[in-house]
This record gives sequence, structure tokens and C-alpha cells, in this order.
Amino acid sequence: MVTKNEIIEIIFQSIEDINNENGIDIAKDVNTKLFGSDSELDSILLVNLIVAVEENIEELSGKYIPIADERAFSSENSPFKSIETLADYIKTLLDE
Amino acid sequence: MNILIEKLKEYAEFPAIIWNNKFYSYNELFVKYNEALAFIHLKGVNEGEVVSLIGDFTPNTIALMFALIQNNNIIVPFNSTIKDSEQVKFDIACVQKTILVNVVNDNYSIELRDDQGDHSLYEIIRERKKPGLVLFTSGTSGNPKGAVHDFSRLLAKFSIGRKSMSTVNFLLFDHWGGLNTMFHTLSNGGVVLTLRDRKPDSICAFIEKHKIELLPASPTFLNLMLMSEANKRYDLSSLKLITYGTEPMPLSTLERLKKAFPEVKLQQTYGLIELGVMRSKSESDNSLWVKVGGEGFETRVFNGLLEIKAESAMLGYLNAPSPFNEDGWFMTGDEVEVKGEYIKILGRKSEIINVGGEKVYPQEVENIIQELDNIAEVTVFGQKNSIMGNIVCAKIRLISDEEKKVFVTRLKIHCKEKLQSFKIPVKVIIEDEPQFSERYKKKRQ
Repeated sequence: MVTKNEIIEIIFQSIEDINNENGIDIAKDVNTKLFGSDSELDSILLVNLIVAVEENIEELSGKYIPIADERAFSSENSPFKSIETLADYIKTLLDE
Repeated sequence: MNILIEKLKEYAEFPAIIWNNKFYSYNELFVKYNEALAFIHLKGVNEGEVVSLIGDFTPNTIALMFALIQNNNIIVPFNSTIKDSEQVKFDIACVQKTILVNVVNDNYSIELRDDQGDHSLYEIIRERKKPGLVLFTSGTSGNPKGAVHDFSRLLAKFSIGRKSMSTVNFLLFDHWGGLNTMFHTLSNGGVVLTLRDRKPDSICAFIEKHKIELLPASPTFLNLMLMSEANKRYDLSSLKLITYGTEPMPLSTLERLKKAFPEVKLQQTYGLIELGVMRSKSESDNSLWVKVGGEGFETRVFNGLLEIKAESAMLGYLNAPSPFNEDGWFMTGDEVEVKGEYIKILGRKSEIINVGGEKVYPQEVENIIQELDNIAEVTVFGQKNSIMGNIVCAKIRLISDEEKKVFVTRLKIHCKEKLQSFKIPVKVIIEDEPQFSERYKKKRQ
């Protein structure tokens, strides 16, 4: 069973990779906004982050979880609001 | 065709073929041609029948090819050994008889197939009383398409004598590139130099041994040769010209090639199974700008896509709609940039990756990745993505082991300097599998 904290760690790790690769400094904070007008990430960076998280989750749990599918975008509460909401969303997907 | 036979007599005692390290003269080839002609008559191969010829550039395979041309057959060449996936081609081409050449001892035999050889395109050739040639293109969907040629039109250009350089027959027997080299060589008194093993070291050893002047190859092969440094292990000073085609050349490979062979002329070729090989001229040795055309070819660019009108064009596909427009222009599907008389081939329109409405040419990204150290091969492709429509992915074979994270960071930082962000691979897959086919061509699916 992967815990929410482990998921957050994975997201932080992924953010660190993205920061290193792009020479940027996105804060490793559960309140960091991932998507929307007050987010530092453009759509390309968001896609990169999601793919990195998917790969790291797969490495940890052995399961490939597509994070950015139709459901993620159609849900009323976007999982990409913040790192916190993303971690919750991934936890739900993993527990299914 | 008679002209080709005349050439066999004209060059009489000169060497025509080196096969299994043994010379065969034009006289010997002429004798084998007569034997082959007698054989097909004896076996009741009638004019206009569809005959597959399975072999390689062996003396008897070449003799049989000449005999089948003389007998006005519709010829479907195959490389020995046939793969299971190729069996479908016999049905597509409605093959009536198969001649199988044993590529070890050069003996041959014939088999009948249960097919009538009926196709409307074949009727045109039969009415003209000409030989035919069927070549297969892999097609974007992976289903082979059979291109039907009036063989006499493809052969017409060989009646004009041109200088023949000593050439290694690197390209394969079942494609026009390979056949074109063979016919060019034989119609100009040259020697067909052929070997089964097309690995870089074998080819380089062969060039050294026979003092070969011209190497026609694919960019993938040239890249592997440079990577393996096979060219440093042999004396290749006889080489005067390296031609490259069949797939786009990465600029980084071309530049490394120029560095390795400063005295050798580097020339891009452009040919299509549907049209034949055009004459071409590269702007310079290390330039991808090329002028294509020559006698019998007209070119134009429409909506960024190259279109060609050719006298030697095929009649059509056996199993696909005609790719010609009503005025006879062939839509190549190749996206090009234009600079005066020169064009630069960007890639197949069908391979372009659409990332959030922006176009990404796989070759452009591959080109940049190839600049990095420790890259054996790279293939860039698109993958569906719900945010961007598609994302760019890169499959990489490394020369020596490297920690994935270290490598990916290195790759992304390099790409960021050279490419817009949407072109940078999001997913990087590291695999040990070679990414090229037996034709030394990059496998794209």
C-alpha cells in the first residue's frame, strides 16, 4: 500500500527532476499550484511533471496509473489544483 | 533490353561480378544468361507471366533477371531468404511461378503457384509487350503495397553510357536502389561487387580488398559504421564518393562523416519505389540541401509537399488507390523546405507529431539528440496525450551503460538549448534493442 506521504514524496522528487532539467525553481510545497492562472507551470511543464510522476509511481508500485486521462479533466474538482489535490487523486486511483 | 545483352557481349572478358570472392566475366554472365533463357523456355514460362525471382546478386540470379526481362515477364524480385511476413506479397502480386536461387551454390529451380496472374495493370504491360517489375513499399500502415512498373521505362536510362565507379552493391536485391546500382554497373562495364554480410566491418574490409570507389548506403548504416569505428580499422583511401538515401540523414551524422572522410564527396540521393531514382546534387558535402530532377523528372512543391512527375513512374499500385493526381503528379508525402533550386527534406508528413497544434519533425529532434555522447541510436515518435494531443517520446540505445536519471537530465538540458520546449522529448525510453532493419534503415512503426 502506497501512502499519501509517499505519493507526495514522489511528486516532490519529480518536481526536483523538472527543476534540474529546466533550470527553474518550482516550490516543493503541498500548496504549489500546478495548473491555472496562478501556476508557475505552463502546459508543457505540467505534461512533463505528470509523466515524471507516472514513471516514478510505476517504479514504486509496479503499477502504471494514467493520471491525466479524461476523468481527471472532467471532474469538477481538478486534481491539478495543487500538489495536495494531485496526491489525493493519485491515492484514489491507486486504491481502486 | 537488347542493349543490356549487347553490353554483355561488348565487355566480353572484363570482370562483371565478384561473388563469393570469385570473379565472373561478362562472357560467363552471357553464357549463364543463355542457360537461364533456355531454362525458362524449357519450363514453359510464357511471355507476360508473373514470375517471382528469389535470390541475391549472384551470377545466376542476375542471369535469370536478364532472361526474364528478355522474355517479357512481370518480375517480382525477393531477397533470399523469404520471411514469413513476406508471404502475403506473393498473393498481392498474383505470382504464377517462382524461381528460387540457392544463394550458397547458385543452383536454381522453379515452382508453380496456383494463381492466374490477373490484374488490370498487368494487362497494360502485356499489351505493350514489355517486361514488368513489381516492387513493394512498406506503406505507413505496415501493409505492403505492390508498385507495378513497365520495366522497359526504368531500364531506358541505362542505354546512355556513363562513367561507372567501382561500387559495392550495398542496397538489397528486392529494391530499386540495389537493382539500379546493378544495372548501372553492368551497362557501363563495371563490376558488381556484392557480399551477403552487410555489417560495418565486413563492408569496410570489402572496400579495402577491392579498392572500392563508391559506397551507396543508408544514414543508419553510416552512423553505425562511424560509431563502431570500423572505418578506422581498414584502409578506405580508395573511396571517392559516398551516397546516402532511403531515409533522412541527420545533420550530425553527415558532419561526423565529413570529418571522418574529408577527401570523399558526399552526395544525397532521392529515389522512390514508385518513380525510380532521380539524379541529384547536394549543395555541398556537409549540406542537406539537394537539387533533384534530371532527365525525365519534373518536380514542384505544393503546400510544402514535394510532388514529382516522372517518365519512369509506375503504372499504379496492385492493392491501393492511385497516388497520382489527374495530371500525373505523384504526391510523395515528403515535407520539404525550398531554397532556390534546392530542397531540404524535413520528413514524411505522416510522421509529424502534432503537439498542441505545433508540428514536430521526428528527424529534427533525433538530429539534436544524436549530437550527445554515448548515443548509438535514437528514434523519436509521438504518443497520445490528453493534455497536448500528443507528446514527443524518444527511444534510445546507448553505447555504454549510463544511469537513466543522469542521462535524461543531460538529454533534456542539451535539447533545451537547441529546441523549443514542445519539441523536447517528455518520455525517454532506454532500450538495448537495435532500432534498424536488415536494410540498415530506421524502423518506424
